[in-house]
Amino acid sequence: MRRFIYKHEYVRPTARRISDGVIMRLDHVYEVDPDLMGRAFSQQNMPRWDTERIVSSRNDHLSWMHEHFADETLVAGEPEELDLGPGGPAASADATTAGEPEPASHPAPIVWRRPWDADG
Amino acid sequence: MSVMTLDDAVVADLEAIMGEPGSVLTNISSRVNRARVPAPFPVHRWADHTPAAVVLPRTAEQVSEIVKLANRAHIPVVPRAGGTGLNDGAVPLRGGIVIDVKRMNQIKEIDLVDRTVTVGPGINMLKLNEELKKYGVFFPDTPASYPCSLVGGRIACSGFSLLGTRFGHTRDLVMSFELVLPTGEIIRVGDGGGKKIRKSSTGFHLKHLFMGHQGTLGIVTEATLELVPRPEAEFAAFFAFGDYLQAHATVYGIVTSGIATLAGTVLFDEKKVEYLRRDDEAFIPMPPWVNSIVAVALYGTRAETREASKLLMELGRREGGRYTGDEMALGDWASRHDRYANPLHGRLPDGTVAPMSWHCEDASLNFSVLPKVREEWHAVAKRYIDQYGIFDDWGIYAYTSASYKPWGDYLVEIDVGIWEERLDDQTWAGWVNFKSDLAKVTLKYGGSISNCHGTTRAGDAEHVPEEMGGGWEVMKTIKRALDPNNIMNPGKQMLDESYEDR
Repeated sequence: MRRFIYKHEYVRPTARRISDGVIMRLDHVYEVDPDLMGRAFSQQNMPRWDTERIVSSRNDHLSWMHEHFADETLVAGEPEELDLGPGGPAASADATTAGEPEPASHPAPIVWRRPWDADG
Repeated sequence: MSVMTLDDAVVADLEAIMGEPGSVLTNISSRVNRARVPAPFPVHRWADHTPAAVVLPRTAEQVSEIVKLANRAHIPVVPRAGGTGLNDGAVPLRGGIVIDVKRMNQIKEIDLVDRTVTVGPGINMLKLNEELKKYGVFFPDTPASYPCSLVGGRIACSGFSLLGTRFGHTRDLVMSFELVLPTGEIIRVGDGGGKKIRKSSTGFHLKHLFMGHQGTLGIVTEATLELVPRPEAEFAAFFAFGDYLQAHATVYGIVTSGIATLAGTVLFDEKKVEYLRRDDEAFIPMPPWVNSIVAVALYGTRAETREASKLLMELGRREGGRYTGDEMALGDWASRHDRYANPLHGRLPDGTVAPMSWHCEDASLNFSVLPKVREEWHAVAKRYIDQYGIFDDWGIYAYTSASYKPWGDYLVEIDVGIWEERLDDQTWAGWVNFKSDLAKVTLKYGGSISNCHGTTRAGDAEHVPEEMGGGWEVMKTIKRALDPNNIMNPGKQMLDESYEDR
């Protein structure tokens, strides 16, 4: 059953400019500048709740994809290094040293079953 | 719209063969919707590509009877699976009958002892793997169209798998298949005669003749596929560079490291990063110095993957790469399995957005020539963008493409956006010339025009004789011997030349 949607969930936050061609209304949700879109695509006001629903669905889909391809997803567990600027051949000296990978924070791994366990 | 129709008697014959209501479709929507695929299409000449009828068989015997009927009456036949091709293999060029195999989607056998699964050509890999998961096994053929393409189309195109470096590509993962020849006989081809045999020296290797035939030599009706242990662990990492040649050198270091769990490496060039910065949430916040990316993924047991990941993190940074973080490693790698979910729009020369279809050039090229090809392809793209104003350069990806080994040659894509609404005969001819000029660069550098989509489209097809050299005459001889009346997907790949002396 569809949940009740409150009035404030329809209100779109004010856009912030991220770059020449991109704006942001919700954190981590980038939108092509509507001024660039209008020539070929009719624009509509997307309610906040609907944007959040689409983003949530996309995240669910990506998590599902990871589960689909392997029992466990590992990541380096290291911070991003983009603020360090471009590196040269010696850049590894000022970057984080590779450590143990860690499980990614997506839904729990599926228990791996051997073929001879399949039918109990 | 003027559309060719079939004689009523032929439609009646098709219905008699099928014996099931709704399995022979002659209504306009069923036919128009099977006229094109996602590849660039001359929308202003849609009617010219519309089939006269669509049939939806369930068995090889039905396919055989339909093909025999078409062969007797000299009616073109075009096989169609998912219709997700990035070439026009499934596009009818002469009308006729489209044989849509989507109802042939059964899993016929799962053999956990000899590690095979036998399926109909209409099954999708995602759906197949959902079933296989409960047995701890996996069919690792994973194109960018993974959620929507079908096994039959993968064989017809000799597809590329994102994880092919680790597990092999379609040609390696299909052990044998049954197909209906253009004269209606049903045969099975493999590496020899055995349905589940992986290596043989008996006779000719007919599997490879029919792998990637683009529907010009028959219709696949069943396939026996490889099963691998389901990976316990996956690890992905992305590294950013301020210089393409640093990224290129990093790929070399990774692919020659000997990491056995390496499943795929992707090199993004500056134009690709520029394109993604417009539209992809993972790339928009990248600082301006980033102009190239190397993406790498490992699959294997937990123990293997954990240890290899440490070496990979070191190799990714050795030439100056910067780790782009766990969030991007997770989100962007998962989306690689489903590129058809991308927004298909591009930018016009004035910066405004227009709906665009996607051309994905798919050359096979050696590692050493990637920097030069990249420069020349972008120069070709700029020339046509400036001249026509309806194209957009979406940049270049290079994927490791050898089976079971990551070095040597690469699937190299320049992605091009095309504003189809503006196509007419003049601009379509411009597009074909654009495509042809990209293919010429590939041949100049000793590459192959198509890694995985096939060379059926205009702009590719006319270069097939040059690429094949002396083998072109052999191809024509085979085509004429197997398809004496040129009914099987006629007009494709210059193969009409086989019949010119008639």
